[in-house]
Amino acid sequence: MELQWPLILFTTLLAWSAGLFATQCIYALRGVGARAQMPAWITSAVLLVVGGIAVFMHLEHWERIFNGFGHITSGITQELIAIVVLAVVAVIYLVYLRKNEGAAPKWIAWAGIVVSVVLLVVMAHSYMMPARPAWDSIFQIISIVGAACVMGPATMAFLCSVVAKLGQADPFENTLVVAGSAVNVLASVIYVAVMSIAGASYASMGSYFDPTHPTYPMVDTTALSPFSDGMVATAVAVIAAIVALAGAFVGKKKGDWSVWGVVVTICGLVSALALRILFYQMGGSVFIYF
Amino acid sequence: MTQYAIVTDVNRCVGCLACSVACKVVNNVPVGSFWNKTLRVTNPSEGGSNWPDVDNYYLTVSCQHCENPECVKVCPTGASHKLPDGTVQVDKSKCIGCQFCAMSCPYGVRYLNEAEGVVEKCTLCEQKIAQGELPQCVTQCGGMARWFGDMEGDIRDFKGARGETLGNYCEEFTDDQVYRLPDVGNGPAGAFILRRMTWRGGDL
Repeated sequence: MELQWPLILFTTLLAWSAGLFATQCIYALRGVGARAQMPAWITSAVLLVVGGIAVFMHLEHWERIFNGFGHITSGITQELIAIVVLAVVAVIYLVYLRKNEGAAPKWIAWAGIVVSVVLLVVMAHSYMMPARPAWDSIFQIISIVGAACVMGPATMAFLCSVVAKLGQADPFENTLVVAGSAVNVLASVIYVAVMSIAGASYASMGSYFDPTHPTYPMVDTTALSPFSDGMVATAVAVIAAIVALAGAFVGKKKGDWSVWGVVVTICGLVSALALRILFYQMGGSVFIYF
Repeated sequence: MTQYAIVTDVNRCVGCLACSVACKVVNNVPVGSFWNKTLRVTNPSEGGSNWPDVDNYYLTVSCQHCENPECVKVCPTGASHKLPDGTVQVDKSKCIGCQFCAMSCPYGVRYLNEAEGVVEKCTLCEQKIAQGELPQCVTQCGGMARWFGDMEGDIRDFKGARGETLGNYCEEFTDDQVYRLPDVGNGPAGAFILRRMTWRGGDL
């Protein structure tokens, strides 16, 4: 199907935002990086708002959003509820940050981690549709979580290094970026592999022809593979994820995230965007002939 | 419980596209959108591939007014809903144009009306069937291939354009010659009768 850019940006930016918020909550649990907490909170909030604006661009009639909005079986409704819950937790977290000079109680940090993960799972789950074999996989959800795992820790490490000027990186900080990048590589590669076997789920019509569009080529289901010609997004997603991991190792070795934090974040972002592009390119329905 | 649907006798369909055209006219379907499309399926017949020994049939595809429609489930505003007569309808005043219904439909039969910014599809001519009339594609079917009725009853009682019933007018068929489009849990209500040829597309 055609690329849905507002949704691509929304899902990617939300993964970044939730990943960063969850990471700063992990830092709060460890009692490190207090001076980076406020910049991280602001960055996460900005990403959430920009992602929110992007998704509104997808709606043809956003002004009707409260005209019956709230059908609970809808993934969009569930996403909205999860975003509101995350926003409430984030505001409470901010209040504690302001009150305690960058320190947040453990209960709110745990709550922040949980709602961030729940939001990502709910958001990705809304795309799990039996009609779209390449989307209907738990590994699709894990791939979004993987994107959050690389972008969140890398951004936080950068903020600690540059904005908060905390000096030499903490070993825990290094481990978090490397582990997050490794999770992203694994999640991306597995989801690409899952998409490649989704082709077996398309209905087979043999030879067919659309009499109402005689000059249009019909859909070729064999072309719906992450490894078919023109699927540049596959290579970009995987290579960018691997480069992010390599950057994480270099950053860990140097103990300085002022440059490598940016490299890992950007590569993670490119990988996530490419994977979402591939997601739509592979988004054929089981009965794909129109 | 009623479950209105269309049964197509595929052996009778001549691929004239009258159903597609009639649908566009009576429902003012925008250019580029087809609430009812026709696919020509041509393959070697089972057991031999000597031309013209082929299976050739036309498959008319529109909203299947599913028993468990995924489009209704994913709609955030309840714009897509199921009526007591079993048909799936779109309340345009509630539609926000998110198109998740179109993504969740296995058959690609939902279209975004770009002028109105809402998703549309076959209504089974609700404006007509609510008054006891037939959907326009059934009325207009030149091959007497399309039949309308309640799937809760016997499909042989489905009505055609001239008042006949499917059971009285069409060639006899067995239950295993009645097919559905691929079912991924949505339970398509529409059915297709195909004899002496190999049904394609239901092998999920």
